Amino acid sequence: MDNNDETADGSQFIGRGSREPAAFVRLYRRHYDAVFRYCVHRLFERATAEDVTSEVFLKVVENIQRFRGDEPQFRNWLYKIATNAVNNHLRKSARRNRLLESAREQTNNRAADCGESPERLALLKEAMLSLKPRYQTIITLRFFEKLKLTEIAEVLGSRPGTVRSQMARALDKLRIRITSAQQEV
Amino acid sequence: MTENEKLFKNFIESIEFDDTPESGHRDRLEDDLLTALSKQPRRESTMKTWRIIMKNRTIRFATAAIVLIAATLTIHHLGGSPDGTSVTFAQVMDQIREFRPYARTQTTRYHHTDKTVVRRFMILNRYQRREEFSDGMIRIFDYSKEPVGMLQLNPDTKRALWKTYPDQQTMPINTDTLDTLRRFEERPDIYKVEDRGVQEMDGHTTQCFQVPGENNVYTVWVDIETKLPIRIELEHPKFGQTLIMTEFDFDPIFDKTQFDRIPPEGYTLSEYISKDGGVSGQTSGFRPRVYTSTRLGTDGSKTVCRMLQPSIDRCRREYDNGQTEIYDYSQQPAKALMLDTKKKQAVLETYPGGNRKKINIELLRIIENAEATPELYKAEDRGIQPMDGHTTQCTYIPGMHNEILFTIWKDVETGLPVRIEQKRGRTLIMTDFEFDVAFDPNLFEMEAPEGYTLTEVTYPAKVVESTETHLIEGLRFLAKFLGGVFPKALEWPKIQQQMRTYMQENNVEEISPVQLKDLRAAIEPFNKYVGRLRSSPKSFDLHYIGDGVCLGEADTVILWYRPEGASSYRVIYGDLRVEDTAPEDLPK
Repeated sequence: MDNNDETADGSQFIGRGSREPAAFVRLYRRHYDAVFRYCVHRLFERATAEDVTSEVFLKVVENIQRFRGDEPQFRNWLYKIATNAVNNHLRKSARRNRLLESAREQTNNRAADCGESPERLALLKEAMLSLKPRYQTIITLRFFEKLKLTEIAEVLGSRPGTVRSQMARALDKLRIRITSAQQEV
Repeated sequence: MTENEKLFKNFIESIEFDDTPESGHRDRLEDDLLTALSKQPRRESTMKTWRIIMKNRTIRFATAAIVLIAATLTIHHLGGSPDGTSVTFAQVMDQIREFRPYARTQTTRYHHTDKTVVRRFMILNRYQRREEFSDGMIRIFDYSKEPVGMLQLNPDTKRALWKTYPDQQTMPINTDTLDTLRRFEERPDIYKVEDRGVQEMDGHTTQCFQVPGENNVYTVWVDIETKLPIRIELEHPKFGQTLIMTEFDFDPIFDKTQFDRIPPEGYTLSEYISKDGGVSGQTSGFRPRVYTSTRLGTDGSKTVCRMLQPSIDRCRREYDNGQTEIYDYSQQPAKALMLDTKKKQAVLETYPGGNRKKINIELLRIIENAEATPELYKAEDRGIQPMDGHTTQCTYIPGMHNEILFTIWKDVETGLPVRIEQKRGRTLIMTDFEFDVAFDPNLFEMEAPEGYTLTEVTYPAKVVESTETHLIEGLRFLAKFLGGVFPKALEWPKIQQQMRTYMQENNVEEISPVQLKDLRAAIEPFNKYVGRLRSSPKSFDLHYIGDGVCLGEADTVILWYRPEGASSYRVIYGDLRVEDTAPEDLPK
């Protein structure tokens, strides 16, 4: 997450975050962008991603008193909350269906003279949303948020080896889905 | 990194994401969080206060009085009433917390056209519903068993269409407005239900509640006696829509046959499987065709082309200016033969790399999809119209986001298109359709006719992973093309415009086949790399100031950006050398 603009150790703000609004705001500002980006990469919808980002930070407010750890752990904790919030959102099957439907619609319309990037975005969206939520999480954390396998394992409460094999399976599925869709272009 | 990882990484790098956080949301959320933080209980101190209160008798009575006053105020504020003449939102929720069959009329007004669409929803259970439109059309959704699908009935024409979704499983589909109301109750931390008092509405005495959200405003009028919604309005400026839901009827006795996936007697049924179908499916479903395509440019230009399409991956285009293009993407490497019949010149382009698969737009598939799911494409029936000697059914298909904008005239007897128009800046008109044409294979031969001068050009394979070198080489190519000056901007449409202007001003009439190949080879990975840098402006902090700088100006900076994870910047100078530079040393 954003650590390039702050040289001070963010860990000092975590302990104070639940008591001092200024410390909490510092933490929030350091991590807002990353949480939002993670949500938008998972949900492919800005408005929904903003809603879920709000949920994540409200959860943080509720639970920060109980959090014990340093800033990297705080970051992983945020991803954990965000993952749960996104998965909850997607679990509502109608919503998931709507997302899939809109992805499918965009894919169907790709012949209508649209640019390459929106077309690929629609392909990616459809392919990603067809994966299990756990696979979606791994792929997003690895390729969009650039987390290491050990960090993803910590977010998911799993072992790096397991994450690696799940990532390989997810990539296989994505490759098949994307390649077969691309062949139609 | 494995091959799959590389492939996926490259794939996502070619995509422009709209993922830049918006400061407005960030600031609003910050305010909300600070408010929430200030309301967070501090367990230890709360317990301590409680103990002090209970130990002191005077304080104990005073506290009890305050609690009672607070409770009264809360009931008043939330719309509750001890005498039962008013309704609380919780009481409304008691009525609809569990699913119950119901019907409602929904009027949707689209702000941009000021048009309204009225339909009656009949919700049988979570898996089945029926929608009746004001023009008589009926849609029955059945997701209770596989294959799930939607039956569309047109009582005027007695036609029925059963559209199935083989990729989908049974699932609840009727999670709608009432579910949203339920969510208001579940998440009081997000949604603030405001009581708007008692109001007369549609002949009922109602309690009005309003829930302002970030993107919309819900207003709900509830009958004071039944505690059920009488009217719900949803103002959704972001989507440019206002929804008005009225005539609610809870627990009606539905005739179950109204939800049947089998059409009533007398209907002609056709089936449509909603599926991309893969290449083989499309190829096998492709009907060999010929049509005339006329392009009217916004500058008054007109280009007419006869399109001959034997399959999805082969075509011949005969232009009215004497140019003919033949494409064959059916085998590898893909090839294209460009013939100038006036100058007797031929250019044979070869594309190794396997990325060219389909040349012909599958118009019929787009139309088919739109007709099967008119709501998705906002398809409008424009009625029966005479067109080019045929009696046609005219349909306008703008697409969900005005991305298609087709008007289609189909022969009422054959069901085949007679004319298709698309107005999006320029106008595209497709006419003189012929289907199932038996083509002469010689028309698609990839050999230059006798007497033609042949130039063969082989394109490099598509760049999978673009790098900074592609950025630099692209800039070099562009600067050379533009007479030694760097482009005014990095955005491709602006570069194209600058190139056109340069060609006009310098009387450059045409680009040779080899130049064209070099242009494409340089620009494709260049655009890809620029796209990647621009996709996350905050991360890469890209700046371009090359406008007016000449190629070779070694002291002038034209561009800088910060690579991922780096603290220093890559700065590119007019002679295209690159230097790593600390942020404090960047040009002001």
